[in-house]
Amino acid sequence: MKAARWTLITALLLGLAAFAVACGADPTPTPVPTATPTPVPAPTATPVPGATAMPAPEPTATPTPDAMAAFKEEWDALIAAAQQEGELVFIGAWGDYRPAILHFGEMYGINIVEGPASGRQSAERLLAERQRGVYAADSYNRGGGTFRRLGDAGTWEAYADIEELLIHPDALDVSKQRFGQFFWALPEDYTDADGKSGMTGLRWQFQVTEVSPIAYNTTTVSQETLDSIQSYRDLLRPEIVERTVMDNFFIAASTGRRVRMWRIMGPEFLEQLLTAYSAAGNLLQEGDRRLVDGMAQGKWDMSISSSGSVDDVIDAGLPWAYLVPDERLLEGGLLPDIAGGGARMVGVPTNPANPNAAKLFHNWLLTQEGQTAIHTMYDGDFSNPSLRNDVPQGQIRDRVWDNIGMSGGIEEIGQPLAPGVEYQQDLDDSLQFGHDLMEKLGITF
Amino acid sequence: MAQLTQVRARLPAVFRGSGTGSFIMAMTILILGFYLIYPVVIILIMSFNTVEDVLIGAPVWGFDNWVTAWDNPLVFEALFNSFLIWFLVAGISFPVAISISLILARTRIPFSNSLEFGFWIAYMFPQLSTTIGWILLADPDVGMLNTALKALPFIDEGPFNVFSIPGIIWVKLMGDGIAFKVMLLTPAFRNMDAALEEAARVSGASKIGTMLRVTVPVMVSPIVLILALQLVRIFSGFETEYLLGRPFQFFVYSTLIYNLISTPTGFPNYGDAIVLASVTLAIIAFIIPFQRWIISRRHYTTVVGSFRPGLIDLGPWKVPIVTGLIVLLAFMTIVPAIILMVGSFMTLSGIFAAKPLWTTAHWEFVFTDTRFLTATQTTLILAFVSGIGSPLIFSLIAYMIVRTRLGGRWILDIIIWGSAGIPGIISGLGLLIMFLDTPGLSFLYGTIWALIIVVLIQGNTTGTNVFKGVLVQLGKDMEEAARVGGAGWTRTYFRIVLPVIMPTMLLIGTLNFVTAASTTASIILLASRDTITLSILGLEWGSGDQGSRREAAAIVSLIIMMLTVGVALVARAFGLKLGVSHRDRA
Repeated sequence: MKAARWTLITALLLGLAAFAVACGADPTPTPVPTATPTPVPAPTATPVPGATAMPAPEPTATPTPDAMAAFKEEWDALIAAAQQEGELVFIGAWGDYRPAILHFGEMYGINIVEGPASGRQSAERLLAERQRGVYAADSYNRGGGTFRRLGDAGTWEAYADIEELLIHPDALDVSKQRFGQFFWALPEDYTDADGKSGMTGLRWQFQVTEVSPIAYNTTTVSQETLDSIQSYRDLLRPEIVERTVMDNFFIAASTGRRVRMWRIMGPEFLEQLLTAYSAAGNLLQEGDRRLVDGMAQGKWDMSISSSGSVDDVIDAGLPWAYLVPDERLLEGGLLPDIAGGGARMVGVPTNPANPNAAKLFHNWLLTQEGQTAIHTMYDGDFSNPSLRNDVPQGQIRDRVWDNIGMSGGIEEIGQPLAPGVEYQQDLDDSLQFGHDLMEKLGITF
Repeated sequence: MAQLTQVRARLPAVFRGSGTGSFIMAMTILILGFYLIYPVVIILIMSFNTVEDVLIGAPVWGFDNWVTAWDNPLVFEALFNSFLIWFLVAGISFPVAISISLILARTRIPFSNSLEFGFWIAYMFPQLSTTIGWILLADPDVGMLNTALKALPFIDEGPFNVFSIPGIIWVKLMGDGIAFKVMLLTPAFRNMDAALEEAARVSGASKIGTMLRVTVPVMVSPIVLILALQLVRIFSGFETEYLLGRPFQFFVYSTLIYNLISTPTGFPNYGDAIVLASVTLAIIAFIIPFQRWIISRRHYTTVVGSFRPGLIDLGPWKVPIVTGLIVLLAFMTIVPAIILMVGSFMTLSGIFAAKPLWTTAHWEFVFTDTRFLTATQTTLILAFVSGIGSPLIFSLIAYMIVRTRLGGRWILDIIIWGSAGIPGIISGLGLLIMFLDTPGLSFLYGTIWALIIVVLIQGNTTGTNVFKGVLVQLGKDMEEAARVGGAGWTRTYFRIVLPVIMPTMLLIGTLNFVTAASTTASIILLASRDTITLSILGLEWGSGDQGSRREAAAIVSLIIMMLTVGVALVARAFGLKLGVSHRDRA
């Protein structure tokens, strides 16, 4: 019995020692060196049988034949190297863009490995891996908040040099850009006052959107009422507040809407708006389920909410429509919004697991072919036209064209809102304002 | 006596406290301790990291989080609300569940097996689906029940409001509040020797008096155990409180922890969240000695060699009781099932004004998504491994704790309880870091083996403790008789112990099958697209991350449920053949 006790004690002590060593391990171990993104030279490209490999682009800036030949050689080598790597690890929420991404994989013989889609969880996994020197992602797509979080960890730093990443002439042809310029979101443009970098990555879509979408029930709201709404400030009228639902854009993941409201309408109006709707019990804190149910079943006649909820109701054949903002509701003009994250941007992490596949993918994504695939293979209607001017736009929702038309056409929109340090500051300020206001209203943030 | 001593001398060394036994115990403690406690320790260590984001940059150690976490004015209100909900749910569900279990196990009632299985099915319904179902029915403005009642000339306002404290309690009771307890208590009540009740009856006690003064007190051990298991899970309940509580600004502790992690900024406040979550550890520190005291203060052996599972005749009460149980089960199973099934064929579930109203598009979407097949395969692998492996592991651990005199049993007990100390929403991060940091495990990261390990041990607190409860009920005389008859330990275990505990093996196997098939929090950071499960796929579709696919998510819930019900049916059929026979069951 005594021997048994000693055996137990010895074994436990040994175990505890091992456990203590494990617990005391440096939480940020030295990163494991990973392969640097050096394309593996290959003699010739090996197209996948049956696939349509992307041809070298037609030069628009009339590059010399020598330059074209050099590019062709580099591009073929990149394809071969990417095929040798064999896979592209994509993390994010492509949703209905998946067919196009899978199409890329099939076309180039690269297996698409998809990581977690959830924003927080994908960021957590990526951060925990990278903190331990594990670099498993090649491309990333999520909302603005997670982009910023990953940016703080230096995830995007390597692609400050965009020319290192983008080699395809078609992707770099500025004449194919709708607004005559590129909107690469580079770290230096997205660094806030604290030196933290934010939404950094390759932008390829834009939105043209009002301050905040307003929708109404076409059978219960009269034209007279609609005509009486001349400004967002009219949404404070008691008879409107009583019959209108609003989702709380300070709590929901509506970064773009929050910043637009903050910039255009100002804090005083926002406080009045949220206070009025909260007092009426028409400010919803939770997800869109109650909002959609209430709209569909006639609880409310109007909504100030994310377009996703309204689209659900309209797609279900219910009598709802957007209040298309004419000049009455422009409040300073429609905003071509290219600042947000989400589907409109892809992040290029440093030390990708498959550097050649990553490079090939990001180049392809921005070419005419890639953008055409993205926009035409999308399963459903969506709201983001391409920044390229030479691709079919696919099933863009009518509302987007209405908004563009309202501003006199896409070419008349003018210089898009240029995000940068100021935008980052507005993100932070609006959030802090929301935090304080929610406390004042007794709403748990 | 001499014979008994001889038998004990012949028992395998592991049960006599020899060096080998101690070595096995030590190894068990080390392996389980590492696997179950290490993630908890990782998480607790993170709570002392005071940087804004624990996953970014170098750590800065300090006690700030432990000070600031309590500054939130909602903490104590949320704590109070959590305990309020828990007490109300427990206060209603325990008497109801004990009564139902007594009826199912100790009375001659028609369809007792089917009725008991009905509670298994009720447990298998995802809480989220049940909650959404009741919102569709009892939303004060647009709920179907309220709308129907408002059509009556004398009712102006719908009487039901699911967005209220009574609404939360009702939905929790209709979810797993009653079903979980009936599932665990019924086998325990069934394992009780009728001789005890007969003795009471002979002494002049009435049927009710016998139940209250003999049956229930003898069953206090499993009752306390289930109470303790429910208490440990007090901060795990999330979906119902979140969906029903937020509209009227009612917060419980788990929603507060969730808010700290899912912030609008995208920067989770893990420091404060872990500090708040660690209150569970304080509850466990109370539970462990209390449960040990309950077990040690009296003798709970109810299954001995002369075991006779007698049944009581309910007389004229039989029909109303069966009717009542069927109605209750209908609320728990048929109502959410119909809502889920019907909703899955609607363009927008629950919205009858949608055009077209009916569609098969959601089913087509689910079955044509390339990930669905992968997810089904992974789910089946995880669920079967867990359903088969977990009961074996947990029963052996319980056997070591209850049936041996080896030193270190209390450490094992603490490990088992301690592993439940951090709610799932946070513990997933601990598991991720454990797999990344541990040399022996890191090579499994990204493979299905990591998920298998997680689901295999998942549910250990419930599983092991339920086995402990059953083994406490089991007299040693049967094992000793077998040994006297010359049976080896293996033969004794498989021919004597296993048949007696077989219903519990199947119960825990089914519980773990369900848990593994529907788990998300513990594996979501470990799964990749090659190892995606149905529950994660459902979560992605339901959360709107992949666009609006709520109906597809509901279909995934239905598929998981059908899968688990099918397996449970087979398991029960198998178990009823192998388990203790109640020959005089009606």
